[in-house]
Amino acid sequence: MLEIEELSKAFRGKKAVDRISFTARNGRVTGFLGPNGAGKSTTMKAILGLIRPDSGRALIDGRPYDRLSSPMRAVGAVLDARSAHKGMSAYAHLRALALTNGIPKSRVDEVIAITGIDSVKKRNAGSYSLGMSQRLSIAAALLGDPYNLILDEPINGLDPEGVKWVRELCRYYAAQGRAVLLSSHLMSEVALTADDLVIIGQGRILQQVSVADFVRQHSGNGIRIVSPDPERVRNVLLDAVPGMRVEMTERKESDPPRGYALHVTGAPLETVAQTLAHSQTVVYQFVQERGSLEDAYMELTHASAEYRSTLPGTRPAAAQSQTAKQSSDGGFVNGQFDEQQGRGR
Amino acid sequence: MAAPRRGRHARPATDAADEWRPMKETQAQAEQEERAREEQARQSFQPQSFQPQSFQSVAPPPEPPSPVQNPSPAPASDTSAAPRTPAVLNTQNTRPRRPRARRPKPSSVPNGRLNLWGCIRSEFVKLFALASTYWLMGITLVLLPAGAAMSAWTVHWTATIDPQTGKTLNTPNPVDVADLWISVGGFVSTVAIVTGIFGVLAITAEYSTKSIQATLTANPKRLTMVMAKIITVSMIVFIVSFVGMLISWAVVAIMSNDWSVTQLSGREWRLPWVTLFGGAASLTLMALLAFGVGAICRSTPGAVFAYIAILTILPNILSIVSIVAKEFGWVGTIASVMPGGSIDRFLQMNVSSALTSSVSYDYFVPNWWQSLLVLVGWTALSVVLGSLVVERVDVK
Repeated sequence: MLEIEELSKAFRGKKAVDRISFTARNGRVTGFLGPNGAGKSTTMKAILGLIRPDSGRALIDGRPYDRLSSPMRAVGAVLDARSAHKGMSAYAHLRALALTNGIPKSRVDEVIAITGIDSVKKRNAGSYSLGMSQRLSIAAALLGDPYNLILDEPINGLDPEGVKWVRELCRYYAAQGRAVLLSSHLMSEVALTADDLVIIGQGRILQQVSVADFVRQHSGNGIRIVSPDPERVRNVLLDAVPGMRVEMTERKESDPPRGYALHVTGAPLETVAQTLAHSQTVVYQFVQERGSLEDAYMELTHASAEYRSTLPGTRPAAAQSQTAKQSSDGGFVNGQFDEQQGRGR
Repeated sequence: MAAPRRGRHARPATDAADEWRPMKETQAQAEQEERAREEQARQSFQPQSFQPQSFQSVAPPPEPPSPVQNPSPAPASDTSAAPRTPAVLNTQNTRPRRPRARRPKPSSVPNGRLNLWGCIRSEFVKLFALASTYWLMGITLVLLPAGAAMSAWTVHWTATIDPQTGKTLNTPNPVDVADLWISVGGFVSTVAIVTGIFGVLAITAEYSTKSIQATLTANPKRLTMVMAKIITVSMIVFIVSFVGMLISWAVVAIMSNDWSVTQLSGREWRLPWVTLFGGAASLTLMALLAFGVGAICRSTPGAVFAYIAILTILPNILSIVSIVAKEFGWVGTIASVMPGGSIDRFLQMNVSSALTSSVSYDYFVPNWWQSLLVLVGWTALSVVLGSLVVERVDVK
């Protein structure tokens, strides 16, 4: 179990991590999500004693990291992919790490077989691709068969098979009753792997919730309609059920090539379908969709993204989401869809 | 097996969507069912891709408790997800209980502990896995005898020359054995650069390749790590340089076989021991001094430059200042307690001979054992400062 209590750290006056507290419980995969620069790596390094926090502490199974009698047995950590000496072979690197904690040579061979770097174990680590280096880091983390796993963006550079393998590994470890802390900036991957979510932005915890609750909170009852005549659809639906909300949205890749996209909320699927059918309105696409987790996460962390980038030749977007929320109409007239920015609402 | 699509797209075959039902029941119940199926799919998934036996012996997680009621008409439409786990659907708005988190079973890894001897062995593995170790130690083994041979030849040549006239003598003067011993250790202060680079690399290579993260994650006790590195570096450098001194001794002995050599006088009996062991010891002390400098700088080029500056550049500057300006004579004292000159002063044991100058100085110059203390003092200071820096500084 990993307990982080009121951890704070400032680098050169700027607070990287500001009094965060959370617990990664046993038997669950805790997803640690946040945009770049939010403080995820700083937190993990503070847990492992690499960074000394200004205040607060981090406990692993009830003790701080440097008081553990066998650190590799308590925690396995994947921090940086390229963290082996480039002149050493994988085997030497793993053997050196294993020797510090009294782990036998057979375990090194086992771990090499698990992570699949058997064929390159005698080559210098400088010649590895990113995927192989990532697997080497994971191998070093698994050496002690640890009670807790701390993974800092472990899927960077892995091919889909590797991504799936890491996901299975996390779930396997959690099923055995160990605690896994997994950090990422990809909501979709974390939603598949994790049980608990800790969302961090600009050094502060934005939300701490279980994945199931997050999914439930952000699953809307929306219906997506692509139609050639949005005005007609709108009028027909509003006549039938006055409380409905019909908004224009931006088109997606998967939409039919013609038509305008609408998002309808406030009425059940069957009502809308029957209303449109009775009024003989033509629609090209009619789909019930749940809220996108990615959108929910973006909305949550948009205000606390550290690095905002724009496409060359465009103006930077200033507080677009606030203006979008204020308009009640749904944006038919103003056309909130800004083609260049690529996002509506 | 056909893997079920997990995540939010894992929808069962539509069973209830054909009929129109009031909104509240359908939505809530459909959501419950979907979530329950997702959870089953995630719980019961057996990771198949692990090869070694240690993982296979772990029992799968226990099945969730059997449901209270089962009102849904289509439990059998669960496709390939969970042959063992029963369908868990109930009318209350509670999701099926997850298996209680169990303590991890005893693993295949026997309980090892973090220990100093393990750390020392680990440092040996690391150093001997790198090519730079072999290069630097090889250069040491080559340079020491080469330098000794050149110095011995110079001694011999000096003995064949009349000091006043500069002409070759018919019968060469006998070669002072003290000079020969000094020539055995002649190149030690130069090879100190090589062993110093070895000491620097032992610590800065970790910082520059970010492998310090892996090292400190495996061993959070930083002083233990520093101690292990110090012990390892000293052992390797001492053994290699001692072997180098022995080879130099052999080379000089072979060269001076047919020269006429004086005997060791009574006061100089310590000279062989000081040369052999002291030469190896001073090279080890220099390696540790460079290690401390490397720990302070934590960057390979910076530390190597700082070390070479301490050894050669700084004493040069100080000597020039003390020579040029007579009133800065005290600067000469500072120059004479620099480590570079101290090595030679230690090894030469104040034996005045053809090789060592017998100029008298205005300022204090340490004699041989004082020079050794100077060396030890510098090394201790550098190592202590370096350990403090490594202990305190964050690894970003």
